[in-house]
Amino acid sequence: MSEELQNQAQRNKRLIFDSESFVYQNVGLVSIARGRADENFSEAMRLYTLASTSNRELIMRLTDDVYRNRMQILDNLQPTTPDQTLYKVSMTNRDRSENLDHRSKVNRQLIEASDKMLEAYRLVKEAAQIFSGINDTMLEHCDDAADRNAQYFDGELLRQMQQADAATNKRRVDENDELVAGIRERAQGNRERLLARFNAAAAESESLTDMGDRLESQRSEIMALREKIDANRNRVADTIFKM
Amino acid sequence: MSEVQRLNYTRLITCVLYEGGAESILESLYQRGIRETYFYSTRGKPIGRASEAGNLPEIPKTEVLHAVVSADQSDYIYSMLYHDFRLNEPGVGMITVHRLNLSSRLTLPEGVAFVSSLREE
Repeated sequence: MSEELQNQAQRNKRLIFDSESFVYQNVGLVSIARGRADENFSEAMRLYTLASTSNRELIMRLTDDVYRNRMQILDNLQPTTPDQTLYKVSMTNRDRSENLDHRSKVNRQLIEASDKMLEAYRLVKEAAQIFSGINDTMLEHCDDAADRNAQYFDGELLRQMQQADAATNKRRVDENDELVAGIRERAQGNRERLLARFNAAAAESESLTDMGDRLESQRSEIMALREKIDANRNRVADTIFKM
Repeated sequence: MSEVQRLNYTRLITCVLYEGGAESILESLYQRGIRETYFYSTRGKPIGRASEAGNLPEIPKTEVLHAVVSADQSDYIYSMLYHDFRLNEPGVGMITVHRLNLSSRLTLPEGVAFVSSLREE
């Protein structure tokens, strides 16, 4: 073997050694990035439940109660002239329409929220499909490697070594050179992509924390409003029958 | 003796009026059915204002008004007082709202009526 080829093989060994560390560090970073994304996803789902179920249920009951109180207040009116009677009827109709108008606008927004959830579901499904594809690729790669192990163990490796000459060795060393260069370039690109995703995940995490605070404060506001509507209900109830 | 009804949905609105004017606020609240109110005049000086003029003590105009209102009234009453009685302008006064734990309605013994209700009749 020429000295030049030996040097090239040794250089490749060094480059592979360095790349191994770099690539496996990337593997670790991918796991961390995915973990961070999963944490954000779980947090986003928690906030979704808080906003769409808990807080929404509370505000729905408030809306029912506030209009129930309004109807009772209107019902308490005792008109004495035809104009006053017409006022009572038209005001009752106005308030019913106001409620329905509000509900229909809210329904439109609910449809938009449902569309977003469908979009999110599709994206999660796509991510699952990508994971499934990755698993298939790794499965195939390991299957091939296992077959090759068996062949090597059964004498193929020894046969190839015995047949080795300068030309085949040169070809293999050159191929390794290209392979290592490709690995290094891809690993460097992956590292940059990972760091960008880390920053994005950190920003997303902060934004989720802010949203969580906002939803908690919204719940406090709802509870304060509940007290206000209950106070109104108590005063209205006293007009029906004082207990 | 009947048990006093305790209300747990009330707020205490307090106005400090540097230029007085509590009576007209009381009138305005009364028109909205709010009777649990009172005010008093105070001595002292608002921050940043001299307590005397021409070596004579200033005649205090500051009045402090308290009104107990239901929780559903507090927001609109607060807003009404803040804007209609110029509490949004500097040097006129200040207004606060506090949650009360328990309150009871102002009721008089049987046979005794509010002067205002006699006036209405």
